[in-house]
Amino acid sequence: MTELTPAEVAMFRQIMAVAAILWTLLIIYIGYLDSKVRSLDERLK
Amino acid sequence: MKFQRKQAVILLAVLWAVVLYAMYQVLFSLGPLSEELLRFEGDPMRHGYKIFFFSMQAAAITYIAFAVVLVGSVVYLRTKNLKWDTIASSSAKVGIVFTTILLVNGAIFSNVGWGAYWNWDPRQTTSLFLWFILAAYLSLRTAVDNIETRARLSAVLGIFGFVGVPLTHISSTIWVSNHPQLYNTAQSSGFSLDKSGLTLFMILMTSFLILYIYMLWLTYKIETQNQIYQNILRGEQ
Repeated sequence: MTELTPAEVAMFRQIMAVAAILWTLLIIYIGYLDSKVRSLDERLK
Repeated sequence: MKFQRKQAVILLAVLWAVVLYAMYQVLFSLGPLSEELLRFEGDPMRHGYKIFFFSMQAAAITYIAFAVVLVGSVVYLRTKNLKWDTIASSSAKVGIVFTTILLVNGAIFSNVGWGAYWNWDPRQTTSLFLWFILAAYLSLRTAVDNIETRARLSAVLGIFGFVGVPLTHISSTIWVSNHPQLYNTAQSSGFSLDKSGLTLFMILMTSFLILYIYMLWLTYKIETQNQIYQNILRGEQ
């Protein structure tokens, strides 16, 4: 692990938290869309 | 080979974990920019350069999305097969998402590096130009009702719109630009990645590429289902 100052660690933790939340939301949304697409596929058949 | 639900869930879970791991490594394990590359004492680029790991991927996927629009448009005009028009429009829809990410990343990088979110840098401006091309493409599609006319007009715009991609790529070399040069040119900023940095870069690039392909497939399926539904409403099926 590289040497980071306490201020840098605190800043990166905030960035990581925001990025992790946004990324998780995106993945969940894609999973939801996938599920909707598949169920619509079944109904259209 | 069908893309089953279980495979989709596994793919999403792996993508989620891999990108989070790579983000963590970029932030906490990658070293700062070397001292000789810093412009002054306390230069925010010391760690700010790490944004490159995300803006580069967004730029690459934007270029790929434009290329898919180009190919889909050309093949549609040659074959008149609407499937290719659907591929092109799906790529435009996904591409505008990545272009937006590119613009936001670029603005953050610009603020860290040069003190303003927007300073009309050639690379920033031409990236915005790319966003406008995709927005125009999607707007055109909503304005035309006839399916064949819409496909033909979109295809022409998709082909000419691709001009923005090489223009954006060379903008920072042909015009005076703050944007760092990534290749060995006379203007090279000297920034290069070590082995761990390169590994993380390739992991993120691969992950975002897989994400683009998955979103393209999903958007294509949605568009196809929409067309089937419209045909049912018109009584053609």
